[in-house]
Amino acid sequence: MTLREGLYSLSFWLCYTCDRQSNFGDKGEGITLEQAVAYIRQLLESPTIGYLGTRDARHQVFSTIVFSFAVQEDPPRLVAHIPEPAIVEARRNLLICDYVAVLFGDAQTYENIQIKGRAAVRAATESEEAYSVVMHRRLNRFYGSGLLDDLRMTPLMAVEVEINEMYNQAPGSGAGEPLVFDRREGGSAG
Amino acid sequence: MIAPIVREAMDTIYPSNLATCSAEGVPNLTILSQVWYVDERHIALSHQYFNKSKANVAANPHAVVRITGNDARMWELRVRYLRMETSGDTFDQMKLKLEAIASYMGMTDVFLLKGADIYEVLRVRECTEHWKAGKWA
Repeated sequence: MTLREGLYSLSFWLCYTCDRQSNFGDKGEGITLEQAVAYIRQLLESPTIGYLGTRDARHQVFSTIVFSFAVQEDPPRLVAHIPEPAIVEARRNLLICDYVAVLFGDAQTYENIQIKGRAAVRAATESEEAYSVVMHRRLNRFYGSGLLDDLRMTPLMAVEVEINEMYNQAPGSGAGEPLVFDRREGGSAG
Repeated sequence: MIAPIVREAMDTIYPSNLATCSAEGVPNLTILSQVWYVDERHIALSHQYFNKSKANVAANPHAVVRITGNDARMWELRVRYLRMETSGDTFDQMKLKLEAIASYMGMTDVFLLKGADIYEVLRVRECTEHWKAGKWA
């Protein structure tokens, strides 16, 4: 990457920092769980990239990259689609601690949020596999670099994460600010 | 320890990621604006807004940085937090880069580098090696 490309990339990040501040209202105002789901759905209309954070028994943290997300309403869950070869460590960690973090956002604008909650992993359905292919192709088109060309995307697993905590992860003064909503499913905020 | 190909991957268009874990065992993730090569055993991360990450590494210094090279190879750097520097060559260079961008954007009052967080690199691993098509039975 040239210096110019680097500056361009970082300028996106910085631009977004200023634009992003008012999207969730004033600090402490918070959003409802329905608004959170709607916001996630809107975010997923863009090329999305993110990470799943898990930890082992010694509190060593692991980060798994994710190229495909979906959101479901009832019950409210973020679903991360991860190819089986990439999820070996995360699956092992989930047996020890099922409370995870997921950071994801718009690959173009760096608009990011972080969700924390209990998670469970299962095999993806056929429709999820088809959806994931679309998400992968969209991300590949956005980067235009063949990011995913050499990676095997099947068999695909689905990690369902309860939306127990949600944070604005926009770079800037609001980074890490909790987005309060009406929790319906309990769970420890940790 | 940090091979040239990994060093190159620190400066690409793909977002980098810092993963930490609290003393209570709750993972936390954040996007990184800069992963700065210090020497073959150390990197620096710009400390601007990482309040939760900072609290986590103060209690549990072991963390993971994920980076992706322009060749789409992904790398995991298992790191240990050492200290924050607020002066010196590393801090000055990181600050200069951030100021250049902020000035370009007319945001010099908004983007201030609080410090350069220095991490020891304990292990570097390619995450995509076993994930390539044809290598997974």
